[in-house]
Amino acid sequence: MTDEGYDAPRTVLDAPSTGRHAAPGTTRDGAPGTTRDRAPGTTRDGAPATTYDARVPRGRVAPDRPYLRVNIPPALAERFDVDRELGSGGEADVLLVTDRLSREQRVVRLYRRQDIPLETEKLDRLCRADRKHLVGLLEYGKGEGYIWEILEYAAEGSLEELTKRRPGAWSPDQVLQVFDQLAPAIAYANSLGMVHRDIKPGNILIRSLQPLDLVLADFGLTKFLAATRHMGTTSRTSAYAPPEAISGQASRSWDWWSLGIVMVEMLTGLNPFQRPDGTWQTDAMILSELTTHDIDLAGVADARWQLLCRGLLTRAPEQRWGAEQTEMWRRGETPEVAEPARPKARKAGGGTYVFGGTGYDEPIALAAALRANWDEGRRLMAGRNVSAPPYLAFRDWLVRNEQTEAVRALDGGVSERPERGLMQVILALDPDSPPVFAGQRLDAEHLHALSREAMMNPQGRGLLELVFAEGILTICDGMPGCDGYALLDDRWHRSVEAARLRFGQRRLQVSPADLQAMLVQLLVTAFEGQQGTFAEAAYKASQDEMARRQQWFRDLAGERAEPATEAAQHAVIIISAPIAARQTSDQIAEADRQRIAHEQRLRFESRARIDRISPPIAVLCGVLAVCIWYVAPVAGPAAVYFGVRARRTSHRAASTWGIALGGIGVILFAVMVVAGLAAGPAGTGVVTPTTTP
Amino acid sequence: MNRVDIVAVTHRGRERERNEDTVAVAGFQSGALEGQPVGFSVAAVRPVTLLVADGLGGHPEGGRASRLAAAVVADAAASLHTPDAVVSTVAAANDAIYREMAHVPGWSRMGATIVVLVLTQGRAICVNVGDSRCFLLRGTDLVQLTRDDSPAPPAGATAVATVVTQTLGGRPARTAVEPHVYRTAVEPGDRFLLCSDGLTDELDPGRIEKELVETADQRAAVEGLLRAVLDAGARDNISIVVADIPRSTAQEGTQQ
Amino acid sequence: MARMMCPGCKADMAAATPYCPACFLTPVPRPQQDEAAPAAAEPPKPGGGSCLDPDCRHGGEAPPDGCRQCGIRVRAAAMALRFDWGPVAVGTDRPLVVGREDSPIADRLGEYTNISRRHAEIRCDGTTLTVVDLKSTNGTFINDERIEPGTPARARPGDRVRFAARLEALVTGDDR
Repeated sequence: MTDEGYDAPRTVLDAPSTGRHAAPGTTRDGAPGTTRDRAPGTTRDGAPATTYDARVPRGRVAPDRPYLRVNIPPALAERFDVDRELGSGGEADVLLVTDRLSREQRVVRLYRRQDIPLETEKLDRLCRADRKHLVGLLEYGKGEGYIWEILEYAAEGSLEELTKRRPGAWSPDQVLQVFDQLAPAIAYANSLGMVHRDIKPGNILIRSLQPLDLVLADFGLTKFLAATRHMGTTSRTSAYAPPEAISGQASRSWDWWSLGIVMVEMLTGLNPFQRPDGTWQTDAMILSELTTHDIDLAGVADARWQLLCRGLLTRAPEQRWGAEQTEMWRRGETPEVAEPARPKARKAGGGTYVFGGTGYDEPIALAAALRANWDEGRRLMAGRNVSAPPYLAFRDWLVRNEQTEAVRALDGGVSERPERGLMQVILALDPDSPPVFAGQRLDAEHLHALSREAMMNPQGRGLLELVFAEGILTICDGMPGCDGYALLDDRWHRSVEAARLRFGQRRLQVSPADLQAMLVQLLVTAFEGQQGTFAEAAYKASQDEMARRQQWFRDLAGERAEPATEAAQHAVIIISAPIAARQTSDQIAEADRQRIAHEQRLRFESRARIDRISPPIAVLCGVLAVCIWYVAPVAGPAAVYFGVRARRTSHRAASTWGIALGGIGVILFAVMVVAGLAAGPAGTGVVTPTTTP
Repeated sequence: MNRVDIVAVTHRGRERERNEDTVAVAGFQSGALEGQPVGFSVAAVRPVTLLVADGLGGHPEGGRASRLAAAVVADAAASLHTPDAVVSTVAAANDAIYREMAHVPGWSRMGATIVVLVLTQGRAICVNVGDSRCFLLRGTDLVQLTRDDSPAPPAGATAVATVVTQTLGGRPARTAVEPHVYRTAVEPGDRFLLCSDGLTDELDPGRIEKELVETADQRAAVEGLLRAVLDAGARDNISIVVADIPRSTAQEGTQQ
Repeated sequence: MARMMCPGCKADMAAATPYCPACFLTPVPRPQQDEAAPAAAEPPKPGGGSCLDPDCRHGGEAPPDGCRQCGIRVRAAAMALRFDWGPVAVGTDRPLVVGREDSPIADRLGEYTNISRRHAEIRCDGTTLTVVDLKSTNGTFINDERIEPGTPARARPGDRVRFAARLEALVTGDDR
């Protein structure tokens, strides 16, 4: 290792104000660790550069009395003095501590989550790992609401910060120093069976600058967290991830790709996903670039370096350079670089078809997906009518995969309902699985249960109606658990036809709900040996008193059916009995209504008759009441009564006369009585003198 | 097809600061942050052009790109009688974005996805670049008419929703686009849905289909979809355009 | 915590409501003025650059370069010169040049032959108009007093500005 390779970075360190990220006026004086109170942005602050570091606002470290938000577990507090907080993320707090005994500085990471799987075997292996290449994991533990890790403290910060202080392209010699540190570290980690999967300058820590000693950080518990975390935007993980990472695939050669990106970044001074002004592309853009384009290596001038980068940035994981090739390259040999594979190269088979966001290249798997996501499949098949692009892509895939039967099924019924085509395609793709229609298994056992269930519960009837209308059972014939379905479907359709014929003959209006129920019932009886299932129910229905009053129903019930249409006959009786009964009750109600109307009419007529003769009676009674004073008490009220009745006729005058004369008669009578009473004593008085003298 | 009834809405969602989607309906271009559904009834004497352009997320000038693309297509609306005309117009929008990019270095890589639906003479022409989608609801089945420019995931893996392989603009240097074209005959009663990925990423197709099938009233359907997306979190800008071909007034023959 | 309301329909929104169910707008805090000082809340002066929108981003006062939301500009929009044919607004962003060339009103001045090509420049800082005579041949007058060429002179609302002999304009706008 030559020292001259580090002259340039160190020069920059000595005059940090030349770097635009260095705080003006800060000088990096003396050996590491002698000064604490450094302005933000110098090496110390970012020393254990973890992913959390990036999120810490730089100015918050108080130099004198560090305010600690975090309580460290007592077990640790006994052994360590907390120097300061280094940062905190969503999942962990990171503290810089000093061991009270050895006075060595350590980094403690406290995870707030308790559910991190502690793979002790793996962690122990990491504890024992060679510290030459990896940041030492000194211990780990659990308790008091925390899971913690104690890590080595790399005082010189991360490679990311070094590159920030020394922006632009590094000389090939300097990059070679970095390469000589990183390649063996990755090879070593892989030899332990560990893939880092997050190698980036921020995770490469500097143990010492002279000679340069780089170590890989973040091999510990963070790995388990990273798996649960999305590719972070702040942590710039995606800019270093290989193309296969997009689909979540883990590969052994992952880290080598990341190394390639780091090399390109150092050689050109810019990450391939960084804009010239230093800003970064968004994750979406990075992913899009990764999936479609090779990394642009035009900025790497040197042919040897370009060879290395091409080798490391090979898209196909299995062809990417690993430990062996990089060693060969370092020795000056020229390992082979695989031809850049076209990203969407078709496989030998028919490629992948994307259904519901997932790729499929296996007919069986696709059939399973179509069964599981029936509605999406229905929409796919609905595109058949209009030749929609997703449908055409599907058909193309079938053609490429030589699924001739499925293609024939698709081409056969362009104008059919999508469900039928979908069922045919699923069965053609996977003939060995029991058929499933709209999420319901249709093998004999399940179908029977399904129809029984639908008898009780109207909910499942729509499905069976569709099965009937589309002839799904015929399609299923011969599939596992579907023996004799063609015959079954035939019997079902025949009996439904027979029943419909009977309804038609009698011009019965049957409600759709009743038809659905009948369909289900006839499916139950279509099974072998089930023709008589509803014989008893039909007999009971045929004995219904109300229904039997209908002549047509008696005829229907009395009809002798052939064995083939026996079940249909039963169904028709069961369905039509309530109809007949309703007709009967309708008729009874109608008869009642008519009888009441008739009685009302009679009453009205008799009253009208009396009304008609009342005018003369009223007048007659009136005259009598006026003329003969002693009949007035009877004739007067009678004249008023008939006079009022007579008002309903057209003889208004007669009615008035009757009422008036009756009234006058009564009044006259009353006057006579009063006069008689008054005259009584007087008359006696009058008479007496006439008799006394 | 004498008339087309359209209801459109665009909304920034609940997490984005800006609305980088642009909707253009029969020459009217949206510019709303949080819009309400707007109704149009257009006589189909000329080609009726509907489009949704979705500015590439994350780029500060995504909105500029989508408005520019929308304006270029809307300008050419009257002449869009054939699929070729629509495709060349979309290509022109792509060129316009790259030209605009050249003005300011910071606008580099701005881009947009677009979906254009042209209804003319009893036919529908649908052209898209990127992952904005157009659906046709005929009867009770929702059918996607666009082909997304998403990378095919390897077998067994699930697609990454955010990745598009082709956009208008979006690259540092001028790149030609190959828009996907689809054409079909229009039938009375057809309902078209154009939307940005803000709708399709939040709601699964079954949910969208249910809303469109069950809600006959266009405005209520659009409001229902928007409400459902907002309730689901609305992480991206949302644009929804629903176009109905009325049943009664359709007399022109549909050539099938 | 401030009460939230829909900026569209002004209906009260519960604190956690993410959007107005009727307008689809994001709720904003209800302005405090009605509780704090109902008496002090005097109606904004029309044309005074004040915004009537309670949710105005600029707190009711439009910034000098105008408010993009409501389109209202600061009071300067009200400062204008009223000529025979109508008022000509003087914006704060750019001065108004009066003359027979290089002027937005050049086509109106064809018959005023004694007006120079670039006669005078009117600037506005939002509250006052400043008239600068651009060394015209026949002079510029404020209330019939000739102003010094090249020296800015102030004109208040109600003043009459005369360019050469015949072209006269009245300064309008509120004086605060």
